[in-house]
Amino acid sequence: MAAATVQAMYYGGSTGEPSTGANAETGIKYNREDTQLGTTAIPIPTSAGTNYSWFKELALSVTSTGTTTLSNRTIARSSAPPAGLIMYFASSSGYVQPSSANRPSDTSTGDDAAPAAWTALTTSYQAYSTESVGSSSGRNGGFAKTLLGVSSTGTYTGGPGSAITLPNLLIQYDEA
Amino acid sequence: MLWRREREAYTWRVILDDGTSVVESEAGSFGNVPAERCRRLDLLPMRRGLRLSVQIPKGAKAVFFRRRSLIVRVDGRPSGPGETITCIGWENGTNCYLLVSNDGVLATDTV
Repeated sequence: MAAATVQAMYYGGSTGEPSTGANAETGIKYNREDTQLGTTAIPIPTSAGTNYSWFKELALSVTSTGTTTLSNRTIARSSAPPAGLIMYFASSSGYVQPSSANRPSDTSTGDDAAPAAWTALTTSYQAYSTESVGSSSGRNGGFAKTLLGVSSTGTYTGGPGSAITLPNLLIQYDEA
Repeated sequence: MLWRREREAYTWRVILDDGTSVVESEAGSFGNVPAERCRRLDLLPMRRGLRLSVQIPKGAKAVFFRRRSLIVRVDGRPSGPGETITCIGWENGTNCYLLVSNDGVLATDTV
C-alpha cells in the first residue's frame, strides 16, 4: 500500500486556477485582497451590520502520489472565535478568483448576518466535497471557500494594527 | 515547510469467503478488495499494540478507511498534520464501526 501525502492548499492570486496551490498549512489571514497572508484590513462596522473579508479558497492537494482513494472531505473550526466574528464556508467545484466584486456584500441589517449561500463553520465537521478521487498528483476534490464576517459589536479587540487570533481551520478526509 | 506524515500505526488484512487473505501491501487500496466477500477484517499493528478484528456478517460490506486531519492556522503561522483515526467495520443497513487512534484508543460507532 502507498498512502498519499496530502496538504491543505490555498488557491488564489490568478484569474484561472493556479497549476499548484500554495501550502495553506503555513497559515492564512483573512483580509480584503487576493493573497494568502496580506493585511488589507476588513473595516469594523460603525453601526449594526456585518462586513466580510474576501474569501480564501482551500483544497486538498496530493504532493506525493499513492495507490489509495480520497473522499469525504469536511471542514470545521477548532473553537469558537471571539463574539462578533463569524467564520463561514461554501463548497465550490471550481476555482473562482477572489475579488471585491464577488465577496458577499456588507450588510447593515444586523450583526452576525450570514450571507446567502454561505454556512457558518462550527466545531462539528461539515462536508464540502464528498466525491471519491484517486490519489494522483495535484488538487483532490473540490474547494472549500472560507470567509470571515466582522460585526459592529463583540468581544474582539480590533483597530489599526491589531491582529486578531482566530480558531484554526480543521480539514478532514478519508483515505482507503 | 513540508510536514511528513508519521508512519501508519496499523495495516489491514482481510479474509475472504473462500478462506484466502489479502493484505494492504498487496492490494494497494481497500477499494481493490471485493468488500462484499470479506468475512473478517483485521487491523495489524505496525509497531506495537493489539491486533483488532471485526467479523463481517454474511451479506454485509466491509469498511476500511483512515480519517486524516489537517490544520490550517488563521494567524499566519505554520501548523502540522493532525491525528489519524483508522476505521474498520461493516455496513448492511445496520452499520457497525470500530475506530482506533494511532495511540490505540478505541471507540465504536453505529452511525
